[in-house]
Amino acid sequence: MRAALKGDQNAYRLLLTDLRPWLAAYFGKRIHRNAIEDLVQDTLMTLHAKRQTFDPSYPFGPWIAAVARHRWIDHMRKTLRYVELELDQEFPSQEHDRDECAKHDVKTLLKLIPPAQAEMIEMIKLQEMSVEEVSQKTGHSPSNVKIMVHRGMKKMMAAVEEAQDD
Amino acid sequence: MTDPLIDKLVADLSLKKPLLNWKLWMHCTACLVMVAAAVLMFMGLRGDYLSAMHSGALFWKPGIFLLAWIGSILLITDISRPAGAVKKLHLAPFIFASAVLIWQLAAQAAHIPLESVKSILQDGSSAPYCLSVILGGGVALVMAWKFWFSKTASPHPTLLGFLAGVSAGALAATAYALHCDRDVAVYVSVYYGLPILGLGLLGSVLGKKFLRW
Repeated sequence: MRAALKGDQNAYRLLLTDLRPWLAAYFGKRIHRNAIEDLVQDTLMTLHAKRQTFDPSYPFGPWIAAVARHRWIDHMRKTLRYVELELDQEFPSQEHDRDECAKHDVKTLLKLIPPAQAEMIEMIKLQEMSVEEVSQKTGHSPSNVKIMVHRGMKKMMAAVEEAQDD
Repeated sequence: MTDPLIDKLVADLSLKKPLLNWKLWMHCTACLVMVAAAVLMFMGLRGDYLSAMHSGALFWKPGIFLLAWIGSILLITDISRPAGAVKKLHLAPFIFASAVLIWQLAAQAAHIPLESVKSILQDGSSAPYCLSVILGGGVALVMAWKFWFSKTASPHPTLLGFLAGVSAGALAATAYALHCDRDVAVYVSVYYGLPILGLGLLGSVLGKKFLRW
């Protein structure tokens, strides 16, 4: 990276090529496999655009890890917003791949919130049950189900924000 | 596949000047000197500077804002990079500034009656002037610092924007305090503190919108 900052194209190509599998492995542990490639490309473009923020007197590892982490958090934020919008406006999505990715990502975040809220979100978002069905199954009123799902989504969003602050 | 992307990024590689903390310090110090010079040239040093020097007001009043300015710049340099985090030690200038202000509030409370404080706070002649000079100066400085903030990649863009506003306001207040002869600590807290806080809030809104990456 130090050589790349001085304009060495060969060193820069080597760096980006070496980073690709590392980034794929990094995101592979966190998000659905269909979204990995997009995020890897996004991170490489961010690296390129923000390379001046790398301080050559510090190691490169923590810097690129922070960039990758930032891109991952941004992705999770968009995913959660997408899932919540779908719930609020109650329209079915036509984007199968995006649905699958969002479900996968939400599943990983469900472990971070209270079990009751996680169960509601699991039923509505992942098993695609209606609010009425969940209401009958759990004994909560439909409005209570919606509130619990909304609160759960907010907690997951907060968990993502917290990950950013750590 | 990323190969075409890598080709494109490599072809686009150009020399980029790294983000260096000392450049921000130099720029901000130059701004402080210029703003202080402008205040002294166009508004003049406070008329009672000898007695203010004797009472200490010529030092503690600009000193508070100078400390806040130093603290905010230290924190800005902490969080301008992706792996950046706030260093607790860099909060020390804010703690010192607060301690000086509290000390002045306590010292003045003993010999300034509440009625006098109320009438000073309601003084319509100087308060709008203080507010507008600090606010206007701060906004101009925030614009001048765009060069630095457009290059940053902060994990906390809202906080970075807030600190940019606070540092600009604190700098304007430091310079303006050389001219202003209102030394009541409550007045300083309200009519200097409000525009700085306002600039901080404006900065946080702008930061949230424009410093995301």
